[in-house]
Amino acid sequence: MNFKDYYTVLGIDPKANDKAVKVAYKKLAVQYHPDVSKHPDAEAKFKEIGEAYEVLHNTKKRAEYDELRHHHLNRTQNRYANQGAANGAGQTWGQQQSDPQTDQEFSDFFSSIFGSSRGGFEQGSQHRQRQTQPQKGQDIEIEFPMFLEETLVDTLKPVEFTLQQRDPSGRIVEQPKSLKVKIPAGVVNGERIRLKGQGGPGPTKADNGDLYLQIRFVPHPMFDVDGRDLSIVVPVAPWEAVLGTKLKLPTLTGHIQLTIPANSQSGQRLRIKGKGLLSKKVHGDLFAVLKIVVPTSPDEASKQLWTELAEKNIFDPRASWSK
Amino acid sequence: MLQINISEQDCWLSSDELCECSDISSALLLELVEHSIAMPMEGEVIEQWRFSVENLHQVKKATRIQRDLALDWSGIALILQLLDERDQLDHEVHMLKQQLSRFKV
Repeated sequence: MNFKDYYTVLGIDPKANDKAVKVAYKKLAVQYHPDVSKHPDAEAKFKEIGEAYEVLHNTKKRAEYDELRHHHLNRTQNRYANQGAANGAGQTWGQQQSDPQTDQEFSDFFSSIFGSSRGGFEQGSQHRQRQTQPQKGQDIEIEFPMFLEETLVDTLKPVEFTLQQRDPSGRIVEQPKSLKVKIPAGVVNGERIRLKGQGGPGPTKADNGDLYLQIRFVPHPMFDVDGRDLSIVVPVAPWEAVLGTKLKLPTLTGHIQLTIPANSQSGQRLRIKGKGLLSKKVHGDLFAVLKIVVPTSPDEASKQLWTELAEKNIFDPRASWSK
Repeated sequence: MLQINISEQDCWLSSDELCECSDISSALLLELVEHSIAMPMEGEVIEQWRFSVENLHQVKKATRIQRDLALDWSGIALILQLLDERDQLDHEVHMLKQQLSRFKV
């Protein structure tokens, strides 16, 4: 088990007073709180900061820790002197499985000294209840990928996840669990679906935690999602944009015929009503965004036609610059 | 393999359920509703209130922030609102970048 230097974690001097400990904790806690921070290691960092604060803001725990730290530093110095070896601090944080676990058990290092109890920044909030009731099982939240096409109808999908349980000897073991869930039509990206009692085991079946599936749309090769609307970029040739045309447009449910009006512009959006995603029993729209594409290597005959057009045309695409 | 069908009832929570799932008292729920942190989808009084699963997530987030950072509820309501705005802007930037990449040759 690696020694943790809580003073280094909070970035303070070992002689720092209580106020400095609190200020350092608050500053780092705001920076790394997993509900606020986008830092990739926010949860692990936050737990480390919380653990350091738990020890250093408590006079008794701090005194115990300081003594331990003193011995550790002496031992390390002796080892350097004898072997010239280096010693690094390590992290042993668990993997996030549910909502950000800002009140999970502390590291083995902490537990080996102080046990696993926690006070928190504001100990014993007066609003909390149910401390006397048995602890409910752990809530689990998993990201659940869905293809856009699957959201249009009720879809039966397998759900596989891992529960962390304690075996009779108290060790944490991972137990795989599989379900089939009928996802109702019309789910939206980011939506959470609650499966009551399918989370971590509690003292009784009724006290099991819940499983939350957070819907994540798989990026589509052609369609972009904006709420319940979809958009698709439609490449058109310059003459199609000028003269207008009819083309076959892919949608989530098959092809439809789309009329491109004459004199269409690049970036112009054409709305196809009701061909978007389903949400709250209403279909969104599909927007066809026109992109004028020029042939990269026109043949001689085409070049001649373009030249003739350029010579006979008085159109000035940059007329607005001279206004 | 166990098969689960999502019923209409799985999509909302009563006040009691919300309190149980987020481990808060009904007095705190009233306070969170006052600050628009908890927002009932329907119902006039606490016994009739119904909350979305998304709102449960918001309440859990709020209570974690309150416990860990010791902020008052109006400060937390502001943080949640700004986090929502940040997420929406992130989504918008992502979507616009995606559309732009489809326009590039």
